[in-house]
Amino acid sequence: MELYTDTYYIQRVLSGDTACFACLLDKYSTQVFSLIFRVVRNREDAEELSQDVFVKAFRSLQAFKGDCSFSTWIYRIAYNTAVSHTRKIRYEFLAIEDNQLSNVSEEEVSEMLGQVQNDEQIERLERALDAIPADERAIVLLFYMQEKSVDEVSVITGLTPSNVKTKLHRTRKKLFLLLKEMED
Amino acid sequence: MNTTSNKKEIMEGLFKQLDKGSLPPAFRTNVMNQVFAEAERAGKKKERIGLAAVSAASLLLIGLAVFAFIYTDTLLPKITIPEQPLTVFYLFITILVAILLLADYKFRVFFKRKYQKSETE
Repeated sequence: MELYTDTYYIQRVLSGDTACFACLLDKYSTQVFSLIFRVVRNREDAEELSQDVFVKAFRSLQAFKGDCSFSTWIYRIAYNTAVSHTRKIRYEFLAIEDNQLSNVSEEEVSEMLGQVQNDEQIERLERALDAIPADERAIVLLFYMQEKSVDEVSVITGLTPSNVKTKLHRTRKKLFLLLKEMED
Repeated sequence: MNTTSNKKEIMEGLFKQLDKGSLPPAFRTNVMNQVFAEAERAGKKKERIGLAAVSAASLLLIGLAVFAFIYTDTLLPKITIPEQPLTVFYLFITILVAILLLADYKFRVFFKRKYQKSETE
Protein backbone atom coordinates (compact mmCIF):
# COMPACT_ATOMS: atom_id res chain seq x y z
CA MET A 1 0.00 0.00 0.00
CA GLU A 2 1.24 3.47 -0.85
CA LEU A 3 1.96 5.77 2.08
CA TYR A 4 1.43 8.95 0.10
CA THR A 5 -0.08 9.67 -3.30
CA ASP A 6 1.75 11.23 -6.24
CA THR A 7 -0.36 14.37 -5.78
CA TYR A 8 0.98 14.75 -2.23
CA TYR A 9 4.59 14.56 -3.43
CA ILE A 10 3.84 16.98 -6.29
CA GLN A 11 2.32 19.49 -3.86
CA ARG A 12 5.37 19.19 -1.59
CA VAL A 13 7.75 19.76 -4.51
CA LEU A 14 5.73 22.73 -5.75
CA SER A 15 5.72 24.26 -2.28
CA GLY A 16 9.53 24.23 -2.29
CA ASP A 17 10.49 20.81 -0.89
CA THR A 18 12.68 19.82 -3.85
CA ALA A 19 14.03 16.70 -2.10
CA CYS A 20 10.53 15.20 -2.27
CA PHE A 21 11.02 14.78 -6.02
CA ALA A 22 13.25 11.79 -5.14
CA CYS A 23 10.09 9.88 -4.09
CA LEU A 24 8.60 10.31 -7.57
CA LEU A 25 11.95 9.45 -9.09
CA ASP A 26 12.21 6.23 -7.07
CA LYS A 27 8.70 5.24 -8.07
CA TYR A 28 8.97 5.77 -11.83
CA SER A 29 12.65 5.73 -12.79
CA THR A 30 12.87 1.98 -13.52
CA GLN A 31 9.73 1.96 -15.69
CA VAL A 32 10.71 5.10 -17.59
CA PHE A 33 14.24 3.79 -18.13
CA SER A 34 13.07 0.39 -19.37
CA LEU A 35 10.66 1.99 -21.88
CA ILE A 36 13.33 4.38 -23.19
CA PHE A 37 15.98 1.66 -23.23
CA ARG A 38 13.79 -0.58 -25.37
CA VAL A 39 12.83 2.29 -27.69
CA VAL A 40 16.31 3.78 -28.28
CA ARG A 41 18.16 0.45 -27.99
CA ASN A 42 21.23 1.98 -26.39
CA ARG A 43 22.00 1.94 -22.67
CA GLU A 44 24.00 5.19 -22.52
CA ASP A 45 21.43 7.11 -24.57
CA ALA A 46 18.62 5.64 -22.47
CA GLU A 47 20.34 6.75 -19.28
CA GLU A 48 20.85 10.28 -20.57
CA LEU A 49 17.32 10.54 -21.97
CA SER A 50 15.80 9.22 -18.74
CA GLN A 51 17.65 11.93 -16.82
CA ASP A 52 16.31 14.48 -19.31
CA VAL A 53 12.78 13.16 -18.80
CA PHE A 54 12.90 13.67 -15.04
CA VAL A 55 14.52 17.10 -15.29
CA LYS A 56 11.87 18.12 -17.87
CA ALA A 57 9.17 16.75 -15.55
CA PHE A 58 10.55 18.75 -12.63
CA ARG A 59 10.81 21.89 -14.75
CA SER A 60 7.21 21.68 -15.97
CA LEU A 61 5.67 20.23 -12.79
CA GLN A 62 3.69 23.43 -12.36
CA ALA A 63 2.02 22.75 -15.71
CA PHE A 64 0.77 19.35 -14.48
CA LYS A 65 -2.92 19.98 -13.91
CA GLY A 66 -3.90 16.47 -12.89
CA ASP A 67 -6.08 15.81 -15.97
CA CYS A 68 -4.38 12.41 -16.13
CA SER A 69 -2.31 10.44 -13.63
CA PHE A 70 1.28 11.48 -12.98
CA SER A 71 2.35 8.11 -14.36
CA THR A 72 0.62 8.80 -17.72
CA TRP A 73 2.05 12.32 -17.77
CA ILE A 74 5.63 11.20 -17.19
CA TYR A 75 5.24 8.40 -19.76
CA ARG A 76 4.09 11.05 -22.26
CA ILE A 77 7.31 13.00 -21.67
CA ALA A 78 9.33 9.77 -21.92
CA TYR A 79 7.56 8.70 -25.14
CA ASN A 80 8.09 12.09 -26.82
CA THR A 81 11.73 12.28 -25.70
CA ALA A 82 12.55 8.74 -26.88
CA VAL A 83 10.71 8.98 -30.21
CA SER A 84 12.19 12.38 -31.10
CA HIS A 85 15.65 11.02 -30.24
CA THR A 86 15.19 8.12 -32.67
CA ARG A 87 14.03 10.60 -35.34
CA LYS A 88 17.29 12.52 -34.93
CA ILE A 89 19.38 9.34 -35.18
CA ARG A 90 17.46 8.11 -38.29
CA TYR A 91 17.46 4.38 -37.74
CA GLU A 92 16.68 2.12 -40.66
CA PHE A 93 13.61 -0.04 -40.34
CA LEU A 94 12.36 -2.95 -42.31
CA ALA A 95 9.54 -1.95 -44.66
CA ILE A 96 6.61 -4.37 -44.56
CA GLU A 97 3.99 -4.07 -47.27
CA ASP A 98 0.32 -3.65 -46.33
CA ASN A 99 -0.78 -6.64 -48.41
CA GLN A 100 1.69 -8.83 -46.46
CA LEU A 101 -0.02 -7.74 -43.24
CA SER A 102 -3.53 -8.33 -44.55
CA ASN A 103 -2.63 -11.93 -45.41
CA VAL A 104 -1.86 -12.67 -41.77
CA SER A 105 -4.68 -13.86 -39.50
CA GLU A 106 -4.90 -13.02 -35.78
CA GLU A 107 -4.96 -16.74 -34.95
CA GLU A 108 -1.62 -17.27 -36.67
CA VAL A 109 -0.14 -14.35 -34.73
CA SER A 110 -1.44 -15.60 -31.38
CA GLU A 111 -0.27 -19.13 -32.10
CA MET A 112 3.20 -17.99 -33.10
CA LEU A 113 3.63 -15.59 -30.20
CA GLY A 114 2.23 -18.14 -27.78
CA GLN A 115 5.08 -20.44 -28.72
CA VAL A 116 7.80 -17.94 -27.86
CA GLN A 117 9.17 -19.24 -24.60
CA ASN A 118 12.86 -20.00 -24.56
CA ASP A 119 15.78 -17.57 -24.51
CA GLU A 120 16.48 -17.96 -28.21
CA GLN A 121 12.90 -17.09 -29.09
CA ILE A 122 12.92 -14.12 -26.72
CA GLU A 123 16.09 -12.93 -28.43
CA ARG A 124 14.30 -13.24 -31.77
CA LEU A 125 11.41 -11.22 -30.43
CA GLU A 126 13.87 -8.55 -29.28
CA ARG A 127 15.40 -8.45 -32.75
CA ALA A 128 11.93 -8.29 -34.32
CA LEU A 129 11.05 -5.38 -32.01
CA ASP A 130 14.26 -3.62 -33.01
CA ALA A 131 13.26 -3.92 -36.67
CA ILE A 132 9.99 -1.98 -36.36
CA PRO A 133 9.75 1.84 -36.20
CA ALA A 134 10.33 3.44 -32.79
CA ASP A 135 6.81 4.88 -32.38
CA GLU A 136 5.19 1.49 -33.09
CA ARG A 137 7.66 -0.20 -30.76
CA ALA A 138 6.86 2.32 -28.03
CA ILE A 139 3.11 1.71 -28.38
CA VAL A 140 3.53 -2.08 -28.14
CA LEU A 141 5.86 -1.70 -25.16
CA LEU A 142 3.48 0.66 -23.37
CA PHE A 143 0.57 -1.71 -23.90
CA TYR A 144 2.22 -5.05 -23.19
CA MET A 145 5.33 -4.32 -21.11
CA GLN A 146 4.10 -1.35 -19.07
CA GLU A 147 0.54 -2.74 -19.07
CA LYS A 148 -1.12 0.55 -19.96
CA SER A 149 -4.70 0.58 -21.23
CA VAL A 150 -5.60 1.70 -24.77
CA ASP A 151 -6.95 4.98 -23.35
CA GLU A 152 -3.75 5.62 -21.40
CA VAL A 153 -1.62 4.81 -24.48
CA SER A 154 -3.83 7.21 -26.41
CA VAL A 155 -3.15 10.02 -23.90
CA ILE A 156 0.59 9.23 -23.83
CA THR A 157 1.04 9.13 -27.59
CA GLY A 158 -1.55 11.73 -28.58
CA LEU A 159 -3.24 9.28 -30.94
CA THR A 160 -6.92 8.44 -30.87
CA PRO A 161 -7.88 5.16 -29.10
CA SER A 162 -8.99 3.60 -32.41
CA ASN A 163 -5.66 4.59 -33.96
CA VAL A 164 -3.82 2.97 -31.05
CA LYS A 165 -5.84 -0.24 -31.52
CA THR A 166 -5.06 -0.28 -35.26
CA LYS A 167 -1.36 0.31 -34.62
CA LEU A 168 -1.26 -2.48 -32.02
CA HIS A 169 -3.01 -4.84 -34.42
CA ARG A 170 -0.64 -4.03 -37.28
CA THR A 171 2.47 -4.18 -35.08
CA ARG A 172 1.48 -7.63 -33.77
CA LYS A 173 1.23 -8.81 -37.36
CA LYS A 174 4.54 -7.22 -38.24
CA LEU A 175 6.19 -9.00 -35.31
CA PHE A 176 4.65 -12.26 -36.51
CA LEU A 177 6.05 -11.78 -40.04
CA LEU A 178 9.48 -10.88 -38.69
CA LEU A 179 9.56 -13.86 -36.33
CA LYS A 180 8.42 -16.16 -39.12
CA GLU A 181 11.15 -14.81 -41.38
CA MET A 182 13.76 -15.45 -38.68
CA GLU A 183 12.49 -19.00 -38.17
CA ASP A 184 12.64 -19.72 -41.91
CA MET B 1 -9.33 -20.17 -30.15
CA ASN B 2 -7.74 -17.43 -28.06
CA THR B 3 -9.87 -14.68 -26.62
CA THR B 4 -8.67 -11.06 -26.62
CA SER B 5 -7.75 -11.22 -22.92
CA ASN B 6 -5.83 -14.47 -23.46
CA LYS B 7 -3.92 -12.87 -26.31
CA LYS B 8 -3.06 -9.93 -24.10
CA GLU B 9 -1.93 -12.25 -21.31
CA ILE B 10 0.32 -14.16 -23.72
CA MET B 11 1.84 -10.94 -25.01
CA GLU B 12 2.28 -9.49 -21.51
CA GLY B 13 3.99 -12.68 -20.39
CA LEU B 14 6.30 -12.44 -23.38
CA PHE B 15 7.16 -8.81 -22.93
CA LYS B 16 7.87 -9.36 -19.24
CA GLN B 17 10.69 -11.67 -20.26
CA LEU B 18 12.39 -8.99 -22.35
CA ASP B 19 15.53 -7.35 -21.04
CA LYS B 20 14.35 -4.13 -19.41
CA GLY B 21 17.85 -2.88 -18.66
CA SER B 22 18.95 -1.87 -15.20
CA LEU B 23 19.45 1.63 -13.96
CA PRO B 24 23.05 2.61 -13.16
CA PRO B 25 23.65 3.10 -9.40
CA ALA B 26 24.49 6.79 -9.80
CA PHE B 27 21.27 7.54 -11.70
CA ARG B 28 19.31 8.78 -8.69
CA THR B 29 22.14 11.01 -7.47
CA ASN B 30 22.75 12.42 -10.95
CA VAL B 31 19.07 13.25 -11.50
CA MET B 32 18.64 14.77 -8.04
CA ASN B 33 21.79 16.90 -8.52
CA GLN B 34 20.34 18.21 -11.77
CA VAL B 35 16.97 18.77 -10.10
CA PHE B 36 18.54 20.74 -7.23
CA ALA B 37 20.55 22.82 -9.72
CA GLU B 38 17.36 23.43 -11.69
CA ALA B 39 15.51 24.46 -8.50
CA GLU B 40 18.29 26.88 -7.63
CA ARG B 41 18.24 28.33 -11.15
CA ALA B 42 14.46 28.71 -10.98
CA GLY B 43 14.74 30.40 -7.56
CA LYS B 44 17.32 32.87 -8.86
CA LYS B 45 15.18 33.56 -11.93
CA LYS B 46 12.18 34.23 -9.70
CA GLU B 47 14.30 36.52 -7.53
CA ARG B 48 15.54 38.45 -10.59
CA ILE B 49 11.98 38.81 -11.92
CA GLY B 50 10.83 40.08 -8.50
CA LEU B 51 13.69 42.57 -8.35
CA ALA B 52 12.94 43.78 -11.88
CA ALA B 53 9.25 44.20 -10.98
CA VAL B 54 10.09 46.18 -7.83
CA SER B 55 12.57 48.34 -9.78
CA ALA B 56 10.03 48.98 -12.53
CA ALA B 57 7.35 49.90 -9.99
CA SER B 58 9.77 52.22 -8.15
CA LEU B 59 10.84 53.91 -11.39
CA LEU B 60 7.19 54.35 -12.34
CA LEU B 61 6.42 55.95 -8.98
CA ILE B 62 9.47 58.24 -9.21
CA GLY B 63 8.44 59.18 -12.76
CA LEU B 64 4.93 59.94 -11.62
CA ALA B 65 6.24 62.01 -8.73
CA VAL B 66 8.58 63.99 -11.01
CA PHE B 67 5.76 64.51 -13.50
CA ALA B 68 3.42 65.68 -10.76
CA PHE B 69 6.10 67.93 -9.26
CA ILE B 70 6.96 69.57 -12.58
CA TYR B 71 3.66 69.76 -14.42
CA THR B 72 0.96 69.96 -11.80
CA ASP B 73 0.44 72.45 -9.04
CA THR B 74 -2.69 71.05 -7.55
CA LEU B 75 -1.36 67.57 -6.65
CA LEU B 76 1.34 68.65 -4.24
CA PRO B 77 0.64 70.56 -1.02
CA LYS B 78 2.64 73.75 -0.72
CA ILE B 79 4.92 74.00 2.29
CA THR B 80 6.03 77.45 3.34
CA ILE B 81 8.75 78.04 5.89
CA PRO B 82 8.74 81.40 7.57
CA GLU B 83 11.89 83.32 6.74
CA GLN B 84 14.25 83.90 9.66
CA PRO B 85 17.72 85.40 9.84
CA LEU B 86 20.42 82.79 9.12
CA THR B 87 22.49 83.71 12.19
CA VAL B 88 19.69 82.52 14.51
CA PHE B 89 19.79 79.11 12.85
CA TYR B 90 23.62 78.89 13.16
CA LEU B 91 23.44 79.89 16.82
CA PHE B 92 20.83 77.25 17.51
CA ILE B 93 23.00 74.54 15.88
CA THR B 94 26.12 75.65 17.81
CA ILE B 95 24.31 75.55 21.15
CA LEU B 96 22.87 72.14 20.33
CA VAL B 97 26.30 70.73 19.41
CA ALA B 98 27.86 72.17 22.55
CA ILE B 99 25.14 70.68 24.78
CA LEU B 100 25.51 67.28 23.13
CA LEU B 101 29.32 67.31 23.42
CA LEU B 102 29.11 68.28 27.09
CA ALA B 103 26.57 65.54 27.74
CA ASP B 104 28.82 63.03 25.97
CA TYR B 105 31.82 64.04 28.05
CA LYS B 106 29.88 63.88 31.32
CA PHE B 107 28.43 60.46 30.51
CA ARG B 108 31.88 59.10 29.57
CA VAL B 109 33.36 60.30 32.87
CA PHE B 110 30.40 58.91 34.83
CA PHE B 111 30.52 55.46 33.21
CA LYS B 112 34.31 55.29 33.44
CA ARG B 113 34.16 55.90 37.20
CA LYS B 114 31.35 53.42 37.60
CA TYR B 115 33.26 50.74 35.67
CA GLN B 116 36.48 51.29 37.70
CA LYS B 117 34.50 51.12 40.95
CA SER B 118 32.86 47.82 40.05
CA GLU B 119 36.25 46.34 39.03
CA THR B 120 37.94 47.23 42.37
CA GLU B 121 35.01 45.72 44.31
